[in-house]
Amino acid sequence: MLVKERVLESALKIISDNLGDYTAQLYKDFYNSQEPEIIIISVSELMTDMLGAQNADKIVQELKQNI
Amino acid sequence: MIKSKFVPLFLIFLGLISILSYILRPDPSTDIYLNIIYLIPSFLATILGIDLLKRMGVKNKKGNIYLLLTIAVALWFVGESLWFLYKIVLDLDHFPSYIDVVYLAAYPIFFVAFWKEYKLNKIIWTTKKILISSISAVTLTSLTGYYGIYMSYDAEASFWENSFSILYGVGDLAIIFVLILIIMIVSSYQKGKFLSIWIYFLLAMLFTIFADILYAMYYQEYNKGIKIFQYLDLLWIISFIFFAQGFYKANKIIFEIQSNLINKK
Repeated sequence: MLVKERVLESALKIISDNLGDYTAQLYKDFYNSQEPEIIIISVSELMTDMLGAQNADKIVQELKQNI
Repeated sequence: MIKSKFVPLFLIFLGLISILSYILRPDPSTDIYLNIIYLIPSFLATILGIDLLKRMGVKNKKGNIYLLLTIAVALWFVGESLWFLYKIVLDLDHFPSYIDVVYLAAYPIFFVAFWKEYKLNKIIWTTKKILISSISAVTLTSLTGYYGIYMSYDAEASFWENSFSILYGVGDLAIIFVLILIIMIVSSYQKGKFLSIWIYFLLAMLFTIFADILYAMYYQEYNKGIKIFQYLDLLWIISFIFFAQGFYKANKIIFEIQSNLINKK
């Protein structure tokens, strides 16, 4: 699996787990045209906004392991 | 989604109406109007929980947690409704009965929901957190253990009456455990938007546990219909209002994210 596909899949799983399946679907449309780094930054910002920096850091670290 | 921005205002209004009604009506224990008022917050919380589930789905992790919370709140609503039917409408003495099974079934579901949320957040325990948790746990467990379990045993009561009374105490102990977990969950959210949702759930559970402890302490006075002790109902009403507000807030946050994404397209 390509790096982008792995990051995309993980990012959408994170969004789905926290904000629901439909939100993840909406983000999928947006992320399809983005590079992995941009996807990671976007997920990091979204999760920081929702879950706070501490929780977001843990999630983003796991996401980065997919690169 | 229930889009009205007036939901929080309505919930505050409902709380105030409930308080005023309990103060002004002469006999809350048998007052049909007050008992209907009492049912509204748990009904609203259930509806707002279902509304949130429609937005979230239930196959994802948070959706699954909200599903469990909604089921638990719905069970209490069903229990309260059955109690209303039997006690107020039909005037039947019903303790213990299958209504108590409905009430009690909610406790393990709450426990599982909050445990799942705790596991999801991978909480890091610091000395400060351990200290706060230990003090809270010892204080609340002592109160519940004494009044909810030890004092609830009645030598003259039947085996089933004692069993169910003690089970309520055990359920409250489980709630105290999850209260500690929710405090940890809330602390992990820092300034995130989910913080407010979990503060509402924390307050809801706090009001429930205080109402349960006070009920265990004064259940004889409460069941005799002495007015001041009927105000305990207000704590349960406020608890359901916080549940309703928590579900509404979660729905609103997700709705705003989805709206922004749709508008960007």
